[in-house]
Amino acid sequence: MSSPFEQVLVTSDLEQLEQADVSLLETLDHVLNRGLVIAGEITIAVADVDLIFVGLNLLVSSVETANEVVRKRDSTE
Amino acid sequence: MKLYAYCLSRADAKKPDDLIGLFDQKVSAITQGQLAVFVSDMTAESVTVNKESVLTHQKVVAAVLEHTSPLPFRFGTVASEAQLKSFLLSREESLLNKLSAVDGCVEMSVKVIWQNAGPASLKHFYPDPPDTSAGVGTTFLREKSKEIAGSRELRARGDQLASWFQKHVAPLVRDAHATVTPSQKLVLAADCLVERSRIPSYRAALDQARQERPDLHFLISGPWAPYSFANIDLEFKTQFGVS
Repeated sequence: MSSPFEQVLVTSDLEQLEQADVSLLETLDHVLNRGLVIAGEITIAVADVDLIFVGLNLLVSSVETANEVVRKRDSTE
Repeated sequence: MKLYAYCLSRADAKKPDDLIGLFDQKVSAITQGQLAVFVSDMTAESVTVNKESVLTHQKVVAAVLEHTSPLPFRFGTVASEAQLKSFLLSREESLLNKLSAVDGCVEMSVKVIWQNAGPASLKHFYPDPPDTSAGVGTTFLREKSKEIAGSRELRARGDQLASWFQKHVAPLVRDAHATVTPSQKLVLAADCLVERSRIPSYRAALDQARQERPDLHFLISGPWAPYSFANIDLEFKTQFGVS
């Protein structure tokens, strides 16, 4: 899965990113894209997204990865 | 009542007081055997993804991280108390092993971005303007050959960079996950599991790396809870061989 940084760097120069954007990207990268997954228990709504623009793509990636983990787990049980 | 889950730790780990989580609900711990999950009441059907909710999730996890090294749940993890306890019960051994693996550690992230040595520097490998004296097939093969040479060169530079980075951090980390993508601007993304006492040394090593390679841009963050080391089923690619 691609990092949100990669998505930003496709269209932006590093110098244009504010430190606050970088910090938020790092937080998004960790909180949305990683962490322990319990089978079938990701409950999120995509409405009212006010994150910087990478958020939605990242969110979709996050859900896809969660589903992949669940599928792998189910297939080994 | 559904519960929003932030992270889990050993049941006997010290817990932060008076934490407020999503939906302004108090964070509490539910225990099962030797494990505890930090949760708050879920007062809505789903968790809306916005800056505030993501930062609130992270704030709770960070507060727990001050006392112990927890396994953070992915944002949006919602379950009943019975489901959570069943998860803890059925996965207790794996989760305890995972907690032991991250015990005393935090996650430090580093992203390395090509400044001048990345794909843009390889223009000499890319196709020249068409040679009108050559046939279509010859021109195509010539261009393809240059593309392949450029890819090899980039891959070699990426591998060299990964080895160089490994040399700097490997002695200081307990585990690491790294991704090298030499064809992208973000050439190296690494998450390192670092013992808390070694954080100053780790940062000093990165400072030294920065000085050695001014052509690279480093984005360094942490300490984080071990988000990248939390899953008990995901197989991550470890390219550094330091696990």
